[in-house]
Amino acid sequence: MKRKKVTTRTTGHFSALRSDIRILGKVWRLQPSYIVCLAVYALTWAFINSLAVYFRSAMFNALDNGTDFWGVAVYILSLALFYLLIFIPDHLYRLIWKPVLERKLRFRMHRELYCKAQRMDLACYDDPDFYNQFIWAMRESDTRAIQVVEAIGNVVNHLLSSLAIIGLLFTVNVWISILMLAGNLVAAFVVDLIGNRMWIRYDTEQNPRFRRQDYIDRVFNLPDYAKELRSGQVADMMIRDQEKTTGELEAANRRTGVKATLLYGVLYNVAKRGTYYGTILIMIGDLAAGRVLLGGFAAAVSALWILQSTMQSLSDALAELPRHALYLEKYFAFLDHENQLVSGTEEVPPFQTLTFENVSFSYAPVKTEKETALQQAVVAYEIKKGEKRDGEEQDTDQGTDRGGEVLHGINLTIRKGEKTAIVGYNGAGKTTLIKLIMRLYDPTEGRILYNGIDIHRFDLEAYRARIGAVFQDYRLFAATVAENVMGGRYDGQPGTEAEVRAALDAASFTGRLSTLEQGLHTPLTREIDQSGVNLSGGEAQKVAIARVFVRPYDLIIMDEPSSALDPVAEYELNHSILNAADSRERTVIFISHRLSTTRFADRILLFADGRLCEQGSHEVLMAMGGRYARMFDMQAEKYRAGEAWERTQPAAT
Amino acid sequence: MSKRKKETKTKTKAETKEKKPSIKLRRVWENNLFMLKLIHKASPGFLALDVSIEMLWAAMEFFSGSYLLKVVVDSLKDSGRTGWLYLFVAVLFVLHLALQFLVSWFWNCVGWPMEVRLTLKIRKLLYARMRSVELSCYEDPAFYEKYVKAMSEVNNRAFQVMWSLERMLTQVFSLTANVALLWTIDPVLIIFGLIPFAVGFLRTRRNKLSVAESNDMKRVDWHTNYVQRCFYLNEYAKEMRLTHMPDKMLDDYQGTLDDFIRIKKRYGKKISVLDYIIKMSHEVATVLGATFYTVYATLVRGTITAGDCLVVINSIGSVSMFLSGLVSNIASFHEHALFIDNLRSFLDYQPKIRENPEGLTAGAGRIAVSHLAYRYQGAEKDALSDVSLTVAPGEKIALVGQNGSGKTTFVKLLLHMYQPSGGEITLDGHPMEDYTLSSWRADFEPVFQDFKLLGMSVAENILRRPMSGEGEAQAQDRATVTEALRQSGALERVERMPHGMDTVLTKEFDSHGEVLSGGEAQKVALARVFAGTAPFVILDEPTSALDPVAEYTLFENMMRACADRAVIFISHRLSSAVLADRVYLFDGGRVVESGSHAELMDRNGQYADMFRRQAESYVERTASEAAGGPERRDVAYEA
Repeated sequence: MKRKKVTTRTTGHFSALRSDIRILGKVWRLQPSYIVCLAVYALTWAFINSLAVYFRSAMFNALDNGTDFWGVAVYILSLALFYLLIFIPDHLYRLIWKPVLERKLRFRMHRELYCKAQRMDLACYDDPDFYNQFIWAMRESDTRAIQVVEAIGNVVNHLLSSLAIIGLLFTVNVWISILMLAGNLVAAFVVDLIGNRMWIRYDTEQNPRFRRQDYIDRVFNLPDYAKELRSGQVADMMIRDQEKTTGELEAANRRTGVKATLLYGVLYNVAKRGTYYGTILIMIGDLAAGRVLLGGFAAAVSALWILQSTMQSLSDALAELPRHALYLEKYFAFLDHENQLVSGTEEVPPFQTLTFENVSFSYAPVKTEKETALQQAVVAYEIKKGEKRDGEEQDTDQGTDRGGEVLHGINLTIRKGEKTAIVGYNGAGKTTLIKLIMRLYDPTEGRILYNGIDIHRFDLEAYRARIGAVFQDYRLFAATVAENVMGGRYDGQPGTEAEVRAALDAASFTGRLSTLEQGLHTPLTREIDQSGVNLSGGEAQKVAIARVFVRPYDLIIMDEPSSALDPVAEYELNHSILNAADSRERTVIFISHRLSTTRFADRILLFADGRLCEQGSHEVLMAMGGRYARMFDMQAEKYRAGEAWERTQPAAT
Repeated sequence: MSKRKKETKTKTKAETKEKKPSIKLRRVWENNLFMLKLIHKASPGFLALDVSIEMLWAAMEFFSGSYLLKVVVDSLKDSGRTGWLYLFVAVLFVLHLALQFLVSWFWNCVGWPMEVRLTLKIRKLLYARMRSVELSCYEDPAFYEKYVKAMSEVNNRAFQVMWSLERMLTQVFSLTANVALLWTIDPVLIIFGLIPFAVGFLRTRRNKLSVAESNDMKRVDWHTNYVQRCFYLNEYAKEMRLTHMPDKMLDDYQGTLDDFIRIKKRYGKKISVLDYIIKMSHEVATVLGATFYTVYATLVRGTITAGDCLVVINSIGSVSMFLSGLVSNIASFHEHALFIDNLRSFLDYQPKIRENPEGLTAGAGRIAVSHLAYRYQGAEKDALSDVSLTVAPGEKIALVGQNGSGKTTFVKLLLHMYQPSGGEITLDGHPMEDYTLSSWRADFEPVFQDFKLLGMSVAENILRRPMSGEGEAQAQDRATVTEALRQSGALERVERMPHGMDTVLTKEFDSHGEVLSGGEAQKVALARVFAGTAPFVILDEPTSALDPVAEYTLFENMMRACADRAVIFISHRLSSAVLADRVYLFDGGRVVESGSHAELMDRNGQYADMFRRQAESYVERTASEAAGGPERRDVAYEA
């Protein structure tokens, strides 16, 4: 609409310009050619802009002076030649070199981020604040970096162009150069300054209404709401709400519209037209008095057009810098973040025992105070600007209920060859226990010993390589079946192939594999490859399970491995997993909240509220008549009732 | 100012358009006209006023630009009478100020509020249609995409059509004026203005190349984005730490960079050659060419004055600019038409399920479903076929079966959200279509597995209507909601909220809104059943997020509260089916077994088999207590 785009000049953030300088340094290190090209380009254009004005003025002066035809034509021809030559590298740069350089820069920035991300503590994912910052760094920092460098280039270009042109006008008439400088300063900088404040206020005030409008749109839009919309009076209530919101918005637009008219219709208008007509009036005087030739007039007229756009661009580019800087601080904060989990150096012997000694754990925020303060600054800034997205806000809120301790004083030992089941309700700490075993987190208190040695002392990668795990929320990658099973590159050697096939067989995937045309080389998911195969939940789970069979892991962990399956398939899979594991004398830990599936275990650990409450075999625990027995009874009751029916039935007939 | 902003907005729009599906010229015309009529209806006179102001503005631009220069230079060269000239410029200055003020006022104080009204009008048209289409439309990707596209541009497309129109008119005006001016100076100059027009075909080729390039790039971008997601999404984090996938991903990423450079070089060369020619045809051939000619005419032939020379240079650029602007503007009408086509075909869609205003009013009664069949659009197989069942008042019916066996589809058909492809549903002997749609749907109180709480107060979410305004009625509503919450086990949680049952849920509207956990939300959703009085209650796996204890209590409450209402519930856990009067086992879209739990166990079919598998581990214990375990059960059965 008639509103200027909001280019914000955040006052008080000029200290943040440090980040702009730092990003410039980073880009220089990663891709120096990009900066060199940009600088050359900026300088060249400043030169072309002033040259055009100069040529025009020189030509008209020659015309006015009564020079012969070729004396004038030489200006035109040389300008044409200059254009023909300079636009060749200009086009090549803009359409080929620059995109390629940018892409390379993005690639290098990403590679650095990815390597950092991959070493990042898993705990960072659990802190929503940090995670948002991380996602932001991943998704946007490259674009911001490019924008900053470009904005700096633009500032240089437009500043030089403006100065050169004003300097040129100085030779024509001092007053004109002063008038143009002042007029454009008001039109571009002063109006922007006031206008941005006004639009920010407007956005801040109206943001809740925009959000409400979007929300109601979504309710009508999304299939998720379709059923709700068709029952009760929900649809009418929503439409009524939309009408009310629109009414409020209309009134707000009227109010702001008046201010906008005063700003743009009066202040901007007077500054802009004043400059234009003022220049012409001064020139008429000069021309009439013979102080200036036609060339001076022509130069003034073209300077009017060019100055106006360069000054506006300069204002925009300057406004961008502090805004980017604030965001880029997030990027640097992420790069500077120190991991809390530190790898040891010792080699890892084959598995014998795993012992928890009085282990407690709570999810603590990973951010430092400085990072928190920064995040708050960004949020405050976004709210002020009305750019805050609702999604992000919700994300941050989830962080609040994560404070408490998740595991308390756990003591337990797992020995080689044991099949251990961990049971308990959601939130009892089962999955956290697994993450501690994998050393994805470190305990807040207590120690975890592997063969009697604290796991801190082992090389982290080697330690994790001893353990094979399938998580509840396992993921398959957009890669071939074989690559997914191997968890990375697949070399296609006959030996490797046999291993992969054996693992898939142990996970009872062989049947499905034979239906895949490209066999082990079938690409999975359609994320990249349109011809990829989308496996069903159960099939995908089997491929994920095959991962733990493909390598000689000492310890296998399965976190609700059968959750996606229906009861029959679940039953079969559990048996086949246990058989496969048994035949290789492996240690297995598995988690489930369906008690019926865990009773095959040698030992059952019952977790409740983060404590290990009961342990022993199914029979022992049932005999104990404690929590486990109660849980089991509750789940079993209905089934037993059904069976009881069945038993009495034949007798009755 | 306003002017400039509008211009840039539409320019970016035109640049981002990717592919242009073909559309008939007539349709382009009709569609754009449709939108203009909509503006006219939303605010009569606005359109006419806007166009008139814009034309005045175009005239002003011309007089203050090329024409003013001519007047200045001519009158100075010819007579040197500056007094008259000063006056002329001053008058023009005042007029220009006044006109720009008018434009600014018109847009900021009239157009801008008006835009909001217009948006509401289009929104309401879309909403009305969307709520009336059958549910299968959401599942038809082509239809749904159309709607989402129509919706996403609701905010500015109507005005863009208007801007394109006004821009076209002003372009034609300015073009004519500048051409006329050049004509009076020297008709030959027109030829220079036409040069960019002549290279127009190059522009088309260039655009085609850009489209092809961005299509090729899409694959690269997909791949890049995928790699990125693997690195940052929480769901991949564990696997990325425990496997060697990151190495493979980085290799892949390097590969995409090489692909990018290859594609960029391939297209970049051709595109830059074309761009170069287009640019040079404007900067060199047109502007400098015309300048050269004019200087020649002035100095050698003496047919043009020096003042005219200045005018020519100024307006030849305008002519060439307006010409190419006009070309792309015409293309933008085409683009608008495509969007409006989505909107119109969406609005013209006739829902298969329509309100039957003269229909009967549905109430309690006996529902009979006979030979019901349903096939999803484009599916090769029926999702549901030959389903027959009855629900008598007060009966408890369980629908069981594996995922995808058709249970939820059946429920949606029962609610008349889909139109059955075969068979019929009757209530007390009258087919479903004989009843009014609103009373039919009001007859059911459904809680779906994927229920949604809306951004309204807790009470409104439960009542699904506005809370009664005052006095007795409101007290009554409050009592109902409180009791319903108590029954569903959510009362304690709701009372802890800052405004009790008046607290707004979700953060969508109100950043202080309450966000409920999965289990809590489910309890609030289930409270609807306790608060409602509809004779049929439908529960589609409503307790999946609850732990077994809460599930058990809630289920008991539900059965007690619904003693005199019919309840149809879907559950994975066969244990709850034991309580039902009748169980229907769905498999592959058919009812394969039906009867009470006892009868089905008796039949020893699929249901009995499923039940035993689920029950195996549990029952074993009972059996082992009595010694004999599984054998004992088999014996009991065979006996």
